[in-house]
Amino acid sequence: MTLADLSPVGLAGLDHTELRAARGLAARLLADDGVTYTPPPSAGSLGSSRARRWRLDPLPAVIEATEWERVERGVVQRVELHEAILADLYGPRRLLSAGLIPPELLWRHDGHLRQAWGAQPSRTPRLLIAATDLGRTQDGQWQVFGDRTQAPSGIGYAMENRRVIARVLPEAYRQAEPRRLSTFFNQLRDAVVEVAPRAVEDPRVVVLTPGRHSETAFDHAFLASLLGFPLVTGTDLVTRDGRLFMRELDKLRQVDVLVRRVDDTWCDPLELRPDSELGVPGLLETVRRGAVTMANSFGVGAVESVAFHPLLPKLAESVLGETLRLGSARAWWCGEPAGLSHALANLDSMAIRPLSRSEGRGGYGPALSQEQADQWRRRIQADPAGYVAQEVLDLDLTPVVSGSEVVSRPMTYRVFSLTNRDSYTVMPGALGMVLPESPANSSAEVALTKDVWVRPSLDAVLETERERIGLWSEGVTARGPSTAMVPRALEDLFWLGRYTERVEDNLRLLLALHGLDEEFPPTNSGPGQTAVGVLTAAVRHVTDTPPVDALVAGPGPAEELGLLLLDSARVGSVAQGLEALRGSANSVRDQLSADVFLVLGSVERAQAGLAEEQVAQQPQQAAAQMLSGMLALAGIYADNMIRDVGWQLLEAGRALERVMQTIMVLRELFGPERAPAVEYHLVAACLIANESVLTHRRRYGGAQYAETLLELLVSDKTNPRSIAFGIGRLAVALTQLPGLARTSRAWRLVDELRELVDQVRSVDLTRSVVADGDGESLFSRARPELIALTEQLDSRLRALNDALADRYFAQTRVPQPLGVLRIDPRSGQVGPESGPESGPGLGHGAGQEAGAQP
Amino acid sequence: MSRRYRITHHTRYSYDQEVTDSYGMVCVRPKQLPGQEVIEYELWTDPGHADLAAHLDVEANELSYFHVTEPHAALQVSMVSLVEVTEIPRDPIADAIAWEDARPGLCRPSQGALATEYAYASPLVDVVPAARDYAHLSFTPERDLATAARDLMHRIHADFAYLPGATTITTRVLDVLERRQGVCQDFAHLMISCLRSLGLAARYVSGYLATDPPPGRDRVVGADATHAWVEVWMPGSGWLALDPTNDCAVGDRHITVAHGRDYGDVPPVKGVIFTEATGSTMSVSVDVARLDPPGSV
Repeated sequence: MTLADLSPVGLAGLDHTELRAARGLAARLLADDGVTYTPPPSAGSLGSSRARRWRLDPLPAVIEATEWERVERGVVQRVELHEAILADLYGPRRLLSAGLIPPELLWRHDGHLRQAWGAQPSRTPRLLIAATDLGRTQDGQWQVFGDRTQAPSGIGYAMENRRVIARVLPEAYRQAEPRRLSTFFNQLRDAVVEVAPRAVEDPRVVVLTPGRHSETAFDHAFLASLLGFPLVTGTDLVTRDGRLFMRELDKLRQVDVLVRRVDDTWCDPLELRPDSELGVPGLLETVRRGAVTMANSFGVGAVESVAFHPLLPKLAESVLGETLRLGSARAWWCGEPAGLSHALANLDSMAIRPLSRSEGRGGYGPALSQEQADQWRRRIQADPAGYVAQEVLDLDLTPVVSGSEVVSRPMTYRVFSLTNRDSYTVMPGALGMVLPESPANSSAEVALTKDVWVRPSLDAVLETERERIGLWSEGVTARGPSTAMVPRALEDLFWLGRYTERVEDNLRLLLALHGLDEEFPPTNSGPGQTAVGVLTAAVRHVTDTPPVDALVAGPGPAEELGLLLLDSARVGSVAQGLEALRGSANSVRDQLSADVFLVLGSVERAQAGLAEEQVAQQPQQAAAQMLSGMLALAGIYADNMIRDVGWQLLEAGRALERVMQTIMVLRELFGPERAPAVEYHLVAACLIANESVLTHRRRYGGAQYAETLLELLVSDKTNPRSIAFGIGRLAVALTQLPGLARTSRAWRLVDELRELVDQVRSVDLTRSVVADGDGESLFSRARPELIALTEQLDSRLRALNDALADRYFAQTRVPQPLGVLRIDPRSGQVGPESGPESGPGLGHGAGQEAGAQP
Repeated sequence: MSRRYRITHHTRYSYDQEVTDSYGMVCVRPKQLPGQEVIEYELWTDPGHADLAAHLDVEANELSYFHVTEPHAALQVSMVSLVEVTEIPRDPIADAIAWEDARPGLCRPSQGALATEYAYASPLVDVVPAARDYAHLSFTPERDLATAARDLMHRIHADFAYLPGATTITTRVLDVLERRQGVCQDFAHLMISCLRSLGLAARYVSGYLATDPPPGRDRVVGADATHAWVEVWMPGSGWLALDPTNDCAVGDRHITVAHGRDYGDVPPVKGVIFTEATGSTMSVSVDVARLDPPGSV
């Protein structure tokens, strides 16, 4: 395909400016929607990697109706075949005894799950949602190179891509009339509800995610909100009496269908991986008893193996009595001598795929050096049956915008299908993926994706007409509120509040620092310059940012400000706070207005603009822009959100964070001994940072003293920036929280906080202690009572955070092994089994722990 | 002749702090088999279970899921069963087959395909060259399978010291081969590894063993334990059971509970708990008491 092939949809004539604009708009819309992807950490690296921006090419790939029909039929047949194979493998296993599947393929493939045998009620489809990876070759053939059955990802991304491209190229979109994707989501919702085992009016469906640190967290959250089902993690679920329940505040609500995005082995620490914190103990048992349907079923990964591909033509003949319609890329299983010799001889044109996922992603022959190829040959020869060699397809090229040019790149298509009873439906579109230029290190990169437009056939015109009624734009009709106050969501909302406030307060502080720095440049050595140093140290302390060695020597705070804003790798940086904020927002996407992501997009753009310039260039402008974004966010929270329990926790989080920030700043700036001239500048900066300059002037005139500042920021109940006001806000939020007794720990702490602040008299706080030395209080004073107060407040605020967490949030219930018998027929001695291995780094709340130390 | 046994099996876990939830999977019910009749069986927990349900796995082993929701500092899982075992003599002619012909991967799929599940490495049984080297001394070309397998069993019994506490359930085959010591489960895993290294199918058997008291002494109740042995697949005549720990064919003193690829498929009790406790102890008591069946002499 070339750009000329896009002429039927009116895209062939786009000039450089238009292409560039389209590319920019697509990126902007994606940022506005907060679309991210987190590449899996590279082998050997520790911890989780960072969320990256989703990448989308503005030019859609267009497929004609007749061509699509062939793909559609082939995909449906393939899914039907897989369903039949799975029913046999987890049932009578006739395909093995008939010699149609070499049994070793099954026993050695870690997608095969012994525990899943017999666990599925007949007539319930195992593959409710399936993904098929296809390539279109240069000669126009469609070939499958992969099947995703366990927890196929990308369906949310595909929908998001469509929404963006429909806005980027509205003219072409109208002209081409690609088939709508929205109908598919409605059908998917129906199909999911259909498999509920109970005959209830409105079955409860939830989407199980590993959490917001997972690779495709956006996809999970977006799919959940598209379908209108709550997004939950393992800690939100519990099994009782062989049934599955969702925790919602103090109630347990039975779950009928679990759409899972967690791989088999992580789903149930009782019967599968005992070290998994992502699953629910007893989940497999609830499925076995038919109390809950899992989509997709346990064990479906068995057919993901590429080694199955060469067997499919024969299997289609014998299982379905049909000819296989859709070919697969040719593959050779090295467990057979012919396959092994072919693979070894043609390694440079093959993708090497280990049979077990645990062996890694394999190798890409064309990109291997001689030495690497030899290493692979040795690995394969050591265990031939563990590998499959797959032909690298000669893929058709597609136009892709690069800069303002159009280049040709090969692309692949992930096609989605659903099963409802015995009928299969293919989503009329796909997630297009452009192959990277150097495939060797592709896993660390975010792939460039494409929207895929399927042109309407004559048959589909009627369908399209029907789709148009009531659905003028791409979008899925909302199905009422999906809000579920599961512990995980409450926790995310609380932290959304805390991070929002933290980012705002840190930005204000940085701007105040910058203002002071401009007023007193480094050449000026006087009290003003000393104040700059104090404030810089305070910023470091408040943000918990370790000093940067390079900065100690020369550059001033302005440079540091830039770094703090940008460098999300730095603990405590504004960038890191923003990233955490976005993570929280993403996982409660279904409870936030789209405006939240729009605002976050603008904040990110201000940050990105700064990154593109030289670091030292105008960081205060970027900070000011980012700050205005944060204010907009606060406005959305205040004006556009239902006052439910989630909102109260968000509000509590904001109030708590603001008070904590204020306390830290006051303590750092006014606790230790300072010369009055230095303090004078610090008071001015602190008023700026707390948006209290006007109030202060109105109340106290032009004079600026620590006494008046402390009165205004500690005990003045009418000042929204004061500690007393913040504690009042906390108390109001607490009164609105359900099930929080007046005698509870949280309330006791709030009462103590109130008493502490009520007792304060600013005179006491500012009372200074004459330090040793010349006895001149003019030159050296410290404020022990202020320090004592901040310490008392701080410890109670932290305790309040924990009390709310205990009451409302997901409890990190880490399952521990019961202990496995050490069997021993003669002595009868037993001892517990050694502890489990460490988890996959997907543990719940990993990012939030970091946030707990402001 | 048949023998009757009353088997009692208690597993007790004690913790230094309260446990709020215990989920368990128990595999202790003697299997209904030709030559093994389960007359009575009961399973319970203390504190009592909120939920208990049994199912059969792919090998028709009975697994029981339990959930205890009452907070507890100790949990006991108990089983009592009455079983009648009759030794079924094997057909020596059917057993006379060259071991090379007993490799299921080389048999017709209709005969050998399902047995191949036991012919490859499994999570706790590595198939290593050292095991093959060890096995080859018994499996000389065209030797008949039953004879060769018994020879392998004799050699394991002779070459390896029975030493409780020297290994854990996660000890690998190679460690056992090097240290030359272990317990019944290690010997079973080792023998399985040897057999699989030759392409033969071998499975792990979990069960109970009736022990005789030393001469002149009374049997001590509770001194027995769960036991493990091996079965090797023979085309046509089914699985041949051998006990490398006791160097004997499996007869009417062995009570079979479950078959798996290795210990990990069929542990007597496994589970997860939710607790703040950091310390726990476990004790097991098994008693296999012989009862004279009615009408026997």
